[in-house]
Parts: sequence; structure tokens; C-alpha cells
Amino acid sequence: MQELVEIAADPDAFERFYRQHVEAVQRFVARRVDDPYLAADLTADVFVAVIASAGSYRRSRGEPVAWLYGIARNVVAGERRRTAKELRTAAHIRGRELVDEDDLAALHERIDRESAARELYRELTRLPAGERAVLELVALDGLSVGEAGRALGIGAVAARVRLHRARRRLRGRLDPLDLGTSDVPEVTT
Amino acid sequence: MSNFEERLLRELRSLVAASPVDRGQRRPLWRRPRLVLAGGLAAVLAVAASVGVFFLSAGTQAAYAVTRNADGTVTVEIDSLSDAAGLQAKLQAAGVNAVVEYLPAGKMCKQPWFTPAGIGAAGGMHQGAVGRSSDGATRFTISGNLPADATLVITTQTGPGGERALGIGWAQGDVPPCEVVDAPAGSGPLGGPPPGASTTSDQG
Repeated sequence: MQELVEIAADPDAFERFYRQHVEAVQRFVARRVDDPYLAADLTADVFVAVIASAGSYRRSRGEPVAWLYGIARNVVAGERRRTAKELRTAAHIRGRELVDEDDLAALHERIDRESAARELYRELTRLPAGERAVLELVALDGLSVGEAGRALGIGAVAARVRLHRARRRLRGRLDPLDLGTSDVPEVTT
Repeated sequence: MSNFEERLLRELRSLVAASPVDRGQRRPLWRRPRLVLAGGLAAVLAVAASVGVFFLSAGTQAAYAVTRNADGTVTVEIDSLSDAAGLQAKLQAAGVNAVVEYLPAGKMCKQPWFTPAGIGAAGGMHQGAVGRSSDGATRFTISGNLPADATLVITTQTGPGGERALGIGWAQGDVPPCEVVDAPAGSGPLGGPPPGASTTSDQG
């Protein structure tokens, strides 16, 4: 497994990580926001937050992708927006300023492809925060329940209980949207 | 990868290269711009219109924080001279009437610009000295009992060595729009020469 702490110190190690995950991060963001410029900002924010947090990664928190999605969720949900903004500001990195016309078309296409997921994402705002977080990562992002729990820093049992409650609350309101099932494939890295 | 992804990668690689961290430890990824304090800070503090004059590194992105504290005071932190409108809106949202004008180098607001609050009143509107925090930002705390007609004025000047400076003061009543004019060399951010501002710098 890649030693994540290296990505905050070694540009080549970071580049390997970035190339491996940049598309996943952009799809993750597109499942939540429909403004291409905001999506570009958030993509940059997520990676800046990743660099800042790499030293805190522990294998017990699961595969790097689960850890990455945990960070991405916090950034997009606004829970780390201020921190991310400060980091990004200090680093002089603003995603939208890196977007040209070709990029804009690609961003729109990616956002269009994820419209159903965004509908689900909006519905999830009705849920209590803890339940929402688990269901988001499972139903929108394809993590297993265990991975979602590790991404959020909670145990597998707690994650499963939250997921069950979330599904029960939303059942009947979201058909035919997929609320995440027990056979969601494991995400590999 | 797309152009965006390539550009972002270059920026992020630079960020990593500029800020190595020790294995297993979290470290700040950057250093905030150092402030260069005017040498005669105490003298500046005695001027009603000008609570402090601080020289900041130019060219940094917007960075500020406005925090309303549990005791009703408001703490302001500024570490670069950009996004004046954003800072002004934040202050007003926190219940502080404020005008923030960041001007280009060599420019100032035509004087007299506003009616300065009296020395005694101005002194009571902030708590403690305006100063530099350990991480390099300008930080000050505003009293929770401001007169209704008090307006916080934050503006800039160009220092004697070409540095951009931050001036913080209090106005009584409304502050008219700033009429931007050329600033004489070494002039104060809020009118008049800044006491001690031409003295040696403290680059920390």
C-alpha cells in the first residue's frame, strides 16, 4: 500500500496518488454540485486537504480511497470548507482559475452524467447528519458499509445501524433511486 | 488528463515541493506572509484615527477571519490585503459597521475622508493592542459595546520602502465614499504622516 505520508513530502509520490484518484474525486464532486467552477474549486480543495492530512492517515482508517472520500465528503459538505479555503488561499490554488473552455465542456459532461446522484444527494439533506454521511458514501459513492464507517471514523456496526435507519427513513420516497444495497461492490484502489 | 487536471497537478506538485513534512507528522503547508511592523507603533496607537499601521507582504490572496466571541467581542484577523468587500461584509454580518478600502500602491483616499472618533472613544473600541499573532497575521479584538455611530475603517497605504501597509482606525458617523488620489510618499493610510512608519522594519 502506498505510504500516504509520502504524498505530502514527495511531489512524485503525490503525482502517482493524484493520477490514480483525480477522476474519482471529480466524479465524487459532480455527484454533489452542478456548478462547474465550484466543482473545480472543490476538486482543488480536496487535494489540498489531502496533502494537509496525509500525515494523519492510518491504515486502521481503511484503504486510501475510503480515507480520501472521507476527506472529500467533509470538504464538499462544508465541514472543512473554511480550513480548505484557508489552505487553498495560502497555497494560491483556486481551481476555477485553472479551467479553460475545453475543461468547461468536460466538467459539464461529467456533471450531466451525475444528475441522478445529485437528486439523491439533495434528498439526503432530510436525514440526520450521521445517517446521511453513511448513506452518502454507500449509495452515492459505492463504498462498502465497512469502508464508509472507516472513512467517517466509526465502527462497522455503527455504520450498518445508521445505514439501516437512513434507508428506513427514505424508503418509499426515493424509488426508483438506488439507496445502496448490501451487495454494493467493494471499491478497490 | 484534461488541461485542468494537468494545471492543478502542477500547482499541487509545487505546493508539496515547497512544504515538505516529516514522516508521520502534520505540518503547516505554508508560511503566512510576515508582517513588517512600523517602528513607532506606540505612537500610532495614540492617534485617534489610526489604531495601527502594519506592513504586509504584497501579492497574496484574500485571507481574513472574523469571529464573534462568546463575550460579544469580535476578533478580526487579516493576513493579506485582498478581498476588501468580503472582509467588510463579514464585519457587518458580525455587527460591526465597517468600511474596508484596499487601494493600489501609491494611492490614498482624499483627506479629510471622515470624522475620526475621539481619542478616548477610539481607545475603548478595541481591546489590547493591534498586533501580530504568532503565525504572522494582524489580529485585533473589537469591543462588544460600540457606539451606534462608530465605523471601523480599514485601509491601505504604500510604505516608504514600497511595502503595502494596513491602517486601522475608527470614524464617528458615516464614512463617505473614498475618493482615490495619489498619495505623497510616506503618507499615512488615514491622512497625515504615520508616526514612526518610516523607521526600521521587523521582518521577524
